[in-house]
Amino acid sequence: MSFFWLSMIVTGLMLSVGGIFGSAAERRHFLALAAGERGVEHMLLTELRGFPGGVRPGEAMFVCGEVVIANDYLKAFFATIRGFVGGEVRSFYPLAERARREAVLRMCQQAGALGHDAVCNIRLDFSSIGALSFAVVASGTAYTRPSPNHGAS
Amino acid sequence: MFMVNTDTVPGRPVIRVLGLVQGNTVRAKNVGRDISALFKNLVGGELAPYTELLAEARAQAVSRMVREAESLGANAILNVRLSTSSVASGAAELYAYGTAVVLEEPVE
Repeated sequence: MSFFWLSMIVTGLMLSVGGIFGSAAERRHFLALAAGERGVEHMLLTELRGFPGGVRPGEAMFVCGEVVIANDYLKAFFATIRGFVGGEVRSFYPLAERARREAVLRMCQQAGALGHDAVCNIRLDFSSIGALSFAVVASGTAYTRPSPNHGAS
Repeated sequence: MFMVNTDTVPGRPVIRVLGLVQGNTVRAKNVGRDISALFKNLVGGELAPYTELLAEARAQAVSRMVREAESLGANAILNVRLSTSSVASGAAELYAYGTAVVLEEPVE
C-alpha cells in the first residue's frame, strides 16, 4: 500500500515538474522562434521548384536544418490519455509547430550566413528518434535575388 | 560539389545527365545521449544530442552521395532529397538522393 502511494507521489511530482518547466520552456521557445524569424524576415521562402524573384546565375546552394524536440511529461501523459478516448492530440500540436518552425529557421539562418536572401523548394521530413520525440529535417535551395528590394516581382 | 534541390540551375544548362546517386546511413544514439534525453523527456524541449546525431547522419549520407557523384564524373547534383526513417528504435536512418549531372561551367 505504501509503495502505491509512493509511486503516486513520484508520478504526481514528475507531472507537476514537467508541466511547470515544460510550459515555461515552451513559452521561451516560442519567443525565441519569433525573435529568430524576425531576423530572417527579409527572406523569400517558398516551396516552388523554380526561383521566384529571379536568381543570380550560378549562385544557389543546398541548405538544411534539423531539430529533435520532446514533449514534457505532463503533455505526454495527456497524450497517453487521449490514446484511450481518441481524437485530436492537442498537447502534441504545439510540439509539432515548434519542431517545424525551428528546423525551417535553422535552415534560413544557414542560408543567411552564406549571404543568400531567399530559399526555394523547401521540403520538410518528419521522423522520430526514441519515443515521444519529434525529429524534423528541413531542406531547400538558397539563392540570392538580383535586387532584394524589387525581388518579389 | 554543387548541390541544389531544384530541377535546374539558372545560367548553367545541363550538359549530361548521369543518373541517380544516393547515400544513406543509420546512426544509433549512445547511452550518454540517452541519459540527457531522459531528463528532457520530463521537462520537454530540444534534445540537442539527438539533433547533433541527426546532423551527423545527414552530413554522412550527403558525403556518400557526393562520393558516388564524383566517381561518375559529375560536377553537380540536382533535385537533392533527404528522407528519414526509424529502422530501429533509437536510431536514425538518413537517406539522401539526387540526380548527378554535368553542368556547364559558370561564365565569369
